[in-house]
Amino acid sequence: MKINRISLYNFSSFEGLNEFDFSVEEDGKNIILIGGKNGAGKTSLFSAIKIALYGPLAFGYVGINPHYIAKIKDCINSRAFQTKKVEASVQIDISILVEREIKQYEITREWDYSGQKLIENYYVTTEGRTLSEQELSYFQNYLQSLVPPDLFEFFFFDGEEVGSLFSTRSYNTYVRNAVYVLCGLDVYEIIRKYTRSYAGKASTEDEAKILREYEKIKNSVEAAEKAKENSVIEIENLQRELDQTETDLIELETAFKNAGGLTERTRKKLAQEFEAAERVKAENSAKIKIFVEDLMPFYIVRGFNERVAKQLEIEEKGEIYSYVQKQLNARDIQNAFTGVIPEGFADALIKLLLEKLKPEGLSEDAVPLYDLSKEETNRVNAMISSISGFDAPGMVDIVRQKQKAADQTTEINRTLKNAITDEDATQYIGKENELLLKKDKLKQKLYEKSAELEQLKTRLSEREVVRERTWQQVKDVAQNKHVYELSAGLSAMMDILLDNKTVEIRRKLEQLIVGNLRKIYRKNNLITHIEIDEDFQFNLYQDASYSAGELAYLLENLGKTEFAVLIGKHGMETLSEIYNADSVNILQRSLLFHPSDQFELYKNIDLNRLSKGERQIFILALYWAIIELSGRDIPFVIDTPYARIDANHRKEISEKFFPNISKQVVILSTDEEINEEFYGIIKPYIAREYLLINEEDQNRTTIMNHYFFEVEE
Amino acid sequence: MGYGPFTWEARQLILTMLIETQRKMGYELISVEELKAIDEIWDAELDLSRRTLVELYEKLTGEKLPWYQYKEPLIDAETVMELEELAEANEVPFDLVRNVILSVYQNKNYSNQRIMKEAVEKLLNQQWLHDDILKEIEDENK
Repeated sequence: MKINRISLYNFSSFEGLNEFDFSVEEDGKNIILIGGKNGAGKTSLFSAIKIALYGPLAFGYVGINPHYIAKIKDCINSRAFQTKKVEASVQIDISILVEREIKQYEITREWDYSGQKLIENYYVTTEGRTLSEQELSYFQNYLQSLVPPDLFEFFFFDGEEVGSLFSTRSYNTYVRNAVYVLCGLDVYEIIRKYTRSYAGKASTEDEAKILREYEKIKNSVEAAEKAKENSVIEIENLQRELDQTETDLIELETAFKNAGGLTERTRKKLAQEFEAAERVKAENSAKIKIFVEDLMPFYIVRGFNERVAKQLEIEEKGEIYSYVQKQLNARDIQNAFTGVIPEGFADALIKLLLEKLKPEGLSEDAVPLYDLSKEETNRVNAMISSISGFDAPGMVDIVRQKQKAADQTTEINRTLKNAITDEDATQYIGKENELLLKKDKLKQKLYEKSAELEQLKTRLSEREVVRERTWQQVKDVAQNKHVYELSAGLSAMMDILLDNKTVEIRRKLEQLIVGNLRKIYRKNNLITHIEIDEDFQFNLYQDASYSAGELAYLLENLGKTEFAVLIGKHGMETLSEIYNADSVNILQRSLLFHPSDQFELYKNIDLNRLSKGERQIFILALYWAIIELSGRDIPFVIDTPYARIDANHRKEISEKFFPNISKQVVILSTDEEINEEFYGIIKPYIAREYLLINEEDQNRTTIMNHYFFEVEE
Repeated sequence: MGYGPFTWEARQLILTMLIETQRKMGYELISVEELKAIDEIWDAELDLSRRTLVELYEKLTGEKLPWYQYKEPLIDAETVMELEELAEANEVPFDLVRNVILSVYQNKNYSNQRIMKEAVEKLLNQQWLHDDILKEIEDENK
């Protein structure tokens, strides 16, 4: 992470908008130096960075609360309160390596104090968009994982306050948590915590109980299944018997028929058929008789019909013609109309009339052939009309039907004649009745059994549902148990891993701190060896020479526990190895036995016995070691860097600590701390420098783009 | 056996073949953007080293992907080996260990701890983890 820019608006003594460019290049110039005398606004700038990044957490609060509000209110520039709208803000622009890219984030905290109420508006933008609430929460936590709250003071280093770190009893937890997070061990710790707490939803007792339950329902399902199977077999048997009975019935009937037996039904049917055929025979015979006796002779000679009819017509009309011919006299007519009609008119008229009346085909000398009376003519014409209207195919059909009916009656008579005797038929009927009764009984039984089977099926499926449910429970319990086992396995793994890791980390940390101390500590023999125990308690040692005799007295006087602390693990191991002593008693005897043996070992020094300056140097070495260990790329911001450091060590810190501790180091210093001499030392590493000036009468900070001094480069 | 997502090894093999084919053809079969998307998925689901894809690409093409230098291992190779050994000793499938680590890593920054807890719980209850145990129970009891 790098801080690129910070701007303050009406923040503390920074009236209006004030901006600092903090960007550093990868050219070895890693220091942003900000100078200022006491009260110039250094600490305000330091606070602004912390507040911008962490909000309430910068003061150790989890969320916005009245204490935080009060602190922020104190941070708002006093002149801002003289305006209508009281507004202030801090904005910080940072770069973070996220996954596979370096991303820029702009974090803004704006405050609006109106009506004696402070409202904080917090938002973060990246790539031109504002993070959503969910993203914001994630981002905030991600930022905290980059610089864990436990490590605030590591990176936001207040020289005046940090020395008190080791005066608290819980410093070990604090260092441990910081190291865990920075070295990524927190993931394993979280896994350990969760897998431990996942402890068995399923106890063995539950498992046994549910298994018993399952066994019970399983047996009950099996019983129901058996009952169902039996019922199915029974039904199958009944069905088979029924089928057999029906077959028997059909066979009986066939045999009876083949033996010429007639069933009652057949008899009845035959009788009906016989009767119907007889009826057809009688009706049709009558029709045929009428035809034969009446119409048939004329029908045979029907070819003459036309000629006879014609002749009758000529004769009828010829009679009228003859009569008119006889009655008409031309003379009479001529006389009756003398003068009116011309001579010869009557003859012409008579001729015309007779021509009109003469029937076609009548010769003048013809004599009537039939000479029938009017009535007779009518009868002949009626006969002719009957003949031409006669339905010949219909009559043929009638004749055929009659023949068919006659054949049918003959056949029925034959069948009845051939039928077996009544005695045999009775026997047959008795047997048939017996089978029919059996069939009915079987059907009834089958019906009852089928109903029973349905019940059995329902019962079975109900039990199966319960069994499946119980089985699911069995599986769930087994799975839960397995989950528990896996959790326990994971937890055990994490235990071992964390143990191994912390052993390694403690060892590395020990070495790194000692190495760093050597770089920045002038008294090279102050702390030459460090032992960090499992709880991250630090034991510091310096070189010490002992004779075996002295060690024997120390052991006797201090007791073995205190003795072990005094010379440390390293000392104990060295002695045990030399004397091949696997117990303290053996060791004591060996020491007494060789009182003049000389040893270069370590002597424990109490952390609290160090001067404040020494303690701060130790802490700087520790922080440096932690940062090196974590491999994190995090800015290091330090306020009053030399507050507790004596003049002797300031040079070492300037030379070795600041150029190396981080790729971005922000130092807020007075001209007495980074003075001309030290400024000269760090000058090659300075990327940017600023000077804060606060005119006392105005209480307003002005920013200059240079430090207190100028150095010839 | 059965269907499901490709295994970690299969995914690497498929990508290797694809990049090799691309190299032989001299025709773009997969874009850098797509490789980036795959890298994101691998980081989220499979790759504790976080460097498998970028290094695979470099090995096959001799070129470094643009984000090559920014990929830091989530867990160093040595620790991964230690985890593998511990997983075997404690009879925990390594896939589960990996998934839990990746899940916690992705969720640890949420203030709402339930998100992480539920994610871990879900992983512990994945069906494939319990198939053998359940089959055993089934063989014994059903």
